[in-house]
Amino acid sequence: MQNFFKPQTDWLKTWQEQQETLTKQYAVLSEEWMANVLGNKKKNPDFFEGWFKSQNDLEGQFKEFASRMNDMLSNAWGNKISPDLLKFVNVSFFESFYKNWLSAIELPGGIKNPLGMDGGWQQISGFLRSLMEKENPFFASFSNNKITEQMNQLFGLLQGTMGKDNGAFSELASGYQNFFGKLFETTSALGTEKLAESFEAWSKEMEKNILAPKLGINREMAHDIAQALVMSKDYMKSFSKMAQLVDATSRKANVRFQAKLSESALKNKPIDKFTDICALWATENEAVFLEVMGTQEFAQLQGDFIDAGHRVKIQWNKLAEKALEPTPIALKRDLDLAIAEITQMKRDMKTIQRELRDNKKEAQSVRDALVKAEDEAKKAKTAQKAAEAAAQDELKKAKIALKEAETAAKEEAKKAKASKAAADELAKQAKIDSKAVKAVTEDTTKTKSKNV
Amino acid sequence: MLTLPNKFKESVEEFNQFAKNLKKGAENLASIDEVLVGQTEKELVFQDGKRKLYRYKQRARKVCPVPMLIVYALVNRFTMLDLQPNRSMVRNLLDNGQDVYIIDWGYADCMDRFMTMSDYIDGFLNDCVDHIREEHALDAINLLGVCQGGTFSAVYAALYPKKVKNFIPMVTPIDFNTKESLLNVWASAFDADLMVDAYGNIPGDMMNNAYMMLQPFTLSISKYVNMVGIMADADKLGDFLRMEAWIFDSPDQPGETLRQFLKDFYQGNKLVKGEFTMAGRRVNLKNITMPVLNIYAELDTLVPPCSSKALRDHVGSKDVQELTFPVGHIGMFVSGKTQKTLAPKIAEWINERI
Repeated sequence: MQNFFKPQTDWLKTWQEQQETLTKQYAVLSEEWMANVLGNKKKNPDFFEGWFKSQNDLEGQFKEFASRMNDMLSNAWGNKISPDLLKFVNVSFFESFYKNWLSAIELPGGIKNPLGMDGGWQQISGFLRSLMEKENPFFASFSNNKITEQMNQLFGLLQGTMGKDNGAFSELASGYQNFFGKLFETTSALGTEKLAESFEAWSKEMEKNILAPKLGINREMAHDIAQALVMSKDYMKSFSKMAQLVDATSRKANVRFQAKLSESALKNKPIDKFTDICALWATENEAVFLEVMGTQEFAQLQGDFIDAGHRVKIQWNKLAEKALEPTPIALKRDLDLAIAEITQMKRDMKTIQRELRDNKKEAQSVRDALVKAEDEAKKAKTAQKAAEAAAQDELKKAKIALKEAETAAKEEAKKAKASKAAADELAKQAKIDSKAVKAVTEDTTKTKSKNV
Repeated sequence: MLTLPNKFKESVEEFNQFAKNLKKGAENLASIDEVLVGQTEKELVFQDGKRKLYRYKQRARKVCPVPMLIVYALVNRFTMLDLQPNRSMVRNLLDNGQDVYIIDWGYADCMDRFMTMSDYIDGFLNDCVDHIREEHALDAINLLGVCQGGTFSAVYAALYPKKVKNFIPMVTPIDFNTKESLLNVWASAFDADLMVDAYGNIPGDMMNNAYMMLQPFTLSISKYVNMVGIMADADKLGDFLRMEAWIFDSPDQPGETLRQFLKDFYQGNKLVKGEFTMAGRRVNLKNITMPVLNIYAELDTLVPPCSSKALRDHVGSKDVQELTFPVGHIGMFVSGKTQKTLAPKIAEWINERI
C-alpha cells in the first residue's frame, strides 16, 4: 500500500503547487476585475478570457485531483471501513461542490457563467440537496432501494426460471422489471407521479392480458401477479406521497436557509465559507425536517409507505417461490421451516441440558448430604462408643465404689457389731457390776442392821 | 460587490486548505494499518454457538468481590464500551476495582431468524449469570444493562431477582409510550409483522438508517464535511475512524426477537403495563427488589430520559438512585465529560452495597 501512496503524495505536492500558482493568478484577475468595476472602465475581453480559462483550468485540475483522490481513498480505506462510509468519502462530491462554488461567484450583470450555472446560493443548496437525495441512506430508503434491487434480482430469477418463450408472463415480468428499474432511478416526486401514471396505464394493459390470457399463461400465477400489481400501485402511491412531502419540506427548509443567509449578509456578517454554509444548511434543514418527521401524520405516511413496500416484497417472494416449485432448488419457505425446527430442537436441547445440569446439581447435593449424613453417623457412632466406654468405665467405677462401700459398710457393720458386743459386754459387765453393787449394798444393809 | 476580491481570495484559500487537509489526510490514512476497537485484554470464559462471555483482565489491586456482568444490546456491538483506551467505560470500571464480564451476542444470521427474546434472556443471559455465580460461589452478581440490553436485564432481574445483587440499567428504555423520541413515534405506525415476514432478519444497515434519521443532516452530511477539517490530525482522524467503524459494525437483528421487541415494547408498552409475558411467565417489574442505579443521558434522542426514568415507578426496590449526565446516548460512553466520573460513581455505589 505504501508503494501505491508514494507517487500519489508526490503528485499531490505538485498539484498543490499548481493550485497555489493558479490561486495567485486568479486573485490577480479578481483585483483587475475589481479595478475595472471601480474605475468604470470598459471590460477588457482578454480579462474574461483569462478569468474563464483559470476557472476551467481549476476545474480540470480538480477533476484529476478528485479522480486520484478517489483511487487513494479506496486503496487506503477499502479494507478498513465499511462501504457505507466509503460512499461518503467519494470526492466527486467535492468536485461538484467546487463546480458550484465557482458558478456561485457573483459576476457583473449580463455575464453568462462559462460553466453553465445560473449562479447564486441556490446552486450550492441545490447541489447539497441532490447529494442528500442520492447519497443519503435515508432518502435512498425513501425509494426503498433494497426492495427495488431485490425486485430486479427476483425478476431476473423469474425470467430465468420461466424461460424466454413463456409469452405473456415473460413480457409482463420484463415490463415490470423496467418499471422498477425506473423507480429505482427516480428521486423526485414529479418523476414518481409520471412513473405512477405510466404504471397505471401499463397495469390496465396487463389486466386485459390476465382477463383474456394468452395461451400458456398460468391462471394462478396470473392471479398472483394481479395481486402484486395492486400492491405495487399502493406502493407507488405511498412513495409518491412521501416524495412530495420530502420535496415540500426541502423547499421550506431552503427558504429558511436563504432567509438566514440574507439575514447574515444584512448584518454585514456574510456566511461565505463552505464549512459555515454547510453547517447552516444542515442546521436549518434538520430543524425543518425534524419538525415534520416528529408528527404522527408523518409517522403514518412513512408507516404506510414501509408497509406497502413490504407487502410487495412478500407477494413477489411468494411468486418467486411458486416459480421455483417445479425446480429442484430449495425453497425459502422450506428452509425457514427447517430453521424453525432446528431452532426449536436447539431450544429443547438447551432445556434438557439445563434440566440435566440441575439434576446433576441436585444429585450432587444429595450425594453431599449423604456424605455429610454418613459422616454424622460415623461421628455419632464414635460418640456412642465413647459414651458406652465412658459408661462402662463409670459402671466399673461404680461397682468398685459399691464394693468399696460394701466393704466399708461391712467393716462398719463389723465395727458396729464389735462395738455392740463391746457395749453388750460392757452392759453385761455393768449388770454384773450392778448386781455386785446391789449385793454389796444389800450385804452392807444387812450388816448395818445386824450391827444396829 | 466591494468585498468580492477579498471574499473570493478567502474562498480560494479555504479551498486550498481543504485540499491540504485532504492531502495530509490521505497520508494519514496510508499510515493507518487497521482500525481497531475493543482492545482491552479479555478472556473467553463461556460460549454457546456464536454467543460468547468474556471476562476482562483485572487492572486494580483491590477487586470487588461481587463481579459485574455487562449486557449490551443486540443492536450494534459491545465494543462501544471499549472504543479506545482513553474512551473506555470498561477500562474505567476495571481501574475502579470492578471484576467485569461482558456478553458478546455475535452476528445473527439466518439460523437465528426464529430466536426469541426468551432464547436470549432465559437462555444465554441466564447461562452466563449461572456460570459467573458458580465460578465465584455466589448466589447473586451485579448486572449492568445497556440500552436494549438494559431492557433485557430488567426482564431478567424481574424473573430471577435472587440472582441479581445490584441492578444498573444504563440509557435503558422502559416506558415506550413517549413522543420525545422519533423512534417511538415512528414505531407506532408501521406493521412489524410485515417487516419481519418480508425480511426475516432485519438488515443492520436498515437499523442504521433509522438511527441516522434521528439527526439526518448532522449525521449524514455535516459529520462528513467536518471530517475533512480533522483529516490532517492523525489522532483525531483515528478517533473518527474508530467511531465510524463502530457505527457501521451493525449486526442484523434476529427477526422474531425484533418482532417481539417492537410489538410488545414499542407498540404495546407491555413492560410497564405488567402485561409482558415470556415463555409463559408474566414479567412483573415489582419483583426487582434489589438496589437499582438508573443511569440515563439528558440529551438522549434514541432513548429519551422520560423512558428510562419511568423505571423508578415500576420496580419494587426501595433503594433506587438515579445518575444523569448532560450527554447523548453514545456520549454516555465516549464523551470526555463521563470518562472520569461515570465509572467511579458506579463503583462507589456498588461498594456501598456489597
